[in-house]
Amino acid sequence: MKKSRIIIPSIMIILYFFLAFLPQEMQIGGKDVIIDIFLKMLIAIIAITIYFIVRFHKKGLGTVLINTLVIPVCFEIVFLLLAIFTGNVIYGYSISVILYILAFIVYYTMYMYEINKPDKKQSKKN
Amino acid sequence: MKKLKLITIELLLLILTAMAFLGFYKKEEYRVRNLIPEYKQGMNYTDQRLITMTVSDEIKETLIYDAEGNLVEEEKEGIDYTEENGYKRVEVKVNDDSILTEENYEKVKNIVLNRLNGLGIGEYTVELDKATGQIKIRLQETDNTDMWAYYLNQSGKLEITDAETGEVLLDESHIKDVGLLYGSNLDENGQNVSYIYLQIAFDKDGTAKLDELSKVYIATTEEVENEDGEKEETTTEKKVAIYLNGTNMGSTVITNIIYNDAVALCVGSATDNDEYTEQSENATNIVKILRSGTFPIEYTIKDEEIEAYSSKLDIKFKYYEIAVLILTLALYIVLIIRFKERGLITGNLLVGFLAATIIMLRLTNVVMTNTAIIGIALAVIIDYMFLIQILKSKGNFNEMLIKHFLNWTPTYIITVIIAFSKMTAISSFGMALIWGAMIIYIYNLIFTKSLIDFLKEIKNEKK
Repeated sequence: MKKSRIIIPSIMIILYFFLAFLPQEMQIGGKDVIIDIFLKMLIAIIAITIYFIVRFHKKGLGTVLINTLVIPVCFEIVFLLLAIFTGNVIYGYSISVILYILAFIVYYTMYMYEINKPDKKQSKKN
Repeated sequence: MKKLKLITIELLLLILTAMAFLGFYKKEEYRVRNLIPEYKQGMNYTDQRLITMTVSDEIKETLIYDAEGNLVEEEKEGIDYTEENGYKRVEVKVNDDSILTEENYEKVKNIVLNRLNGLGIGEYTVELDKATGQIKIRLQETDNTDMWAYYLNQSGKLEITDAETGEVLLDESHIKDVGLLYGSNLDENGQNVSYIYLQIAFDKDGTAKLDELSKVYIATTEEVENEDGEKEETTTEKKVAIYLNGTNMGSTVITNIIYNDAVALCVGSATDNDEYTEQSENATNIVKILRSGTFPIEYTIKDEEIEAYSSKLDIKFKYYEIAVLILTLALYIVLIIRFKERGLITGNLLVGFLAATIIMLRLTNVVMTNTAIIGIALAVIIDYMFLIQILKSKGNFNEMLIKHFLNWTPTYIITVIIAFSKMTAISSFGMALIWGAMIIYIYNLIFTKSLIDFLKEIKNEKK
């Protein structure tokens, strides 16, 4: 597992909440929006997990599940905890909201790139 | 013949780009009309409504105390209630200083946010000045803005008072839930009238109080002797008055408004469908306002339109458009550096792709926000990655296109799901990327495939 796959999206999620400490407070959401994003991403994670299982189940169900379900759900938990910590709100400008969604896009794209790469050991054996 | 094919493709790309960035005009009788619709722009690029909520410093009443410190209940004529005469005047503000706390300001802000979300407003910003409690709400100026401003301004208060004394018997602090009830009846002319009722359920204490009131505020019939000594039945009604958002909804005996242990208030009636829909929407909004709670502090609300000079905003919007164009051109340069001649020819496809996406977003009325621009930029990057893949590999074009789609499916899943978000800032990103993704596959099948085939033929000829 590449560390950058975890580190980059984590930085993006933390950066999203870092905006909460901007001097000018401008809210665009609130609790409802946090819950809305959280639930929508959860649905997306489940759908993506099913997709990965169907396509890559030969790579090992456990590995696929950890990478496509467990880790992203951990991101969601971090997001929720930070939301509670910073007062259940979204601060900053609307672009900051997209940071959270982009974090997942970056994560899954990196994982897809990783999983598609031919296994070096296997190639050598062949 | 092959050169002609290349020129045709490049010419088509040029036309597509010109259509997206300059427009496609048709001469009409007295004017020239652009057939490509204008962007449906988000709040940042249109006129806005600024609603400023300022903590009220109004004086509710002035109390007069005599020299012994007793409250003067009634001012008498001929007495000068001045300090020289030993009286003390104390002004009572609508907002006591003790309630002007940061915690209460936050409460008000959260109620405002609940109302904004409840009213289904896609784009807004709320700013709270924690020192003064002033709240600034910015909304997009649309046909609905007046209605939104009206509902944001509502107190959210419900009071059931004694119709005679004005004593508050039950208020909104006991509300457990609010919903709507629908019914219909025939009027005097035999016409069907639909009614919309607000059903207000109270908590345990509220229900107990309602039960008590239903024994007192009723109609009673008594036998009274008239002047002629005959007995007559007279009915006396002890009524309650109902105030919703500060408006008197009428007075009645309480049994008339109790239904299933809850209070049912008629908030609308209609005889035709349009009227019914309108009344129903109003009633739904009242429900949302009551559910959002009441402000713990009194505010004065100022509502003003901020005219965004459209030309200035157009310039602002073009900056974003130009930023995406610069990104596309930067990727084009990377393609030239990496693939030389082939990069130069295929790079045009990237600009053409951006043009096709922009036209599609304008035709499909996607709300253009800052985040939609990010969506377009992401679509350009996804298309760029496909071009890199196709230029590096020698595989079958269709197979590679399918593989590209399968590899990006997780992104598309996220995109489709977030496109259904209530917030325009999030949904417009999703919508821009969905259309961008669709264009990637259709556009590449039409243009890129032809161009790649052409490049392969040239390569084979050279061999």
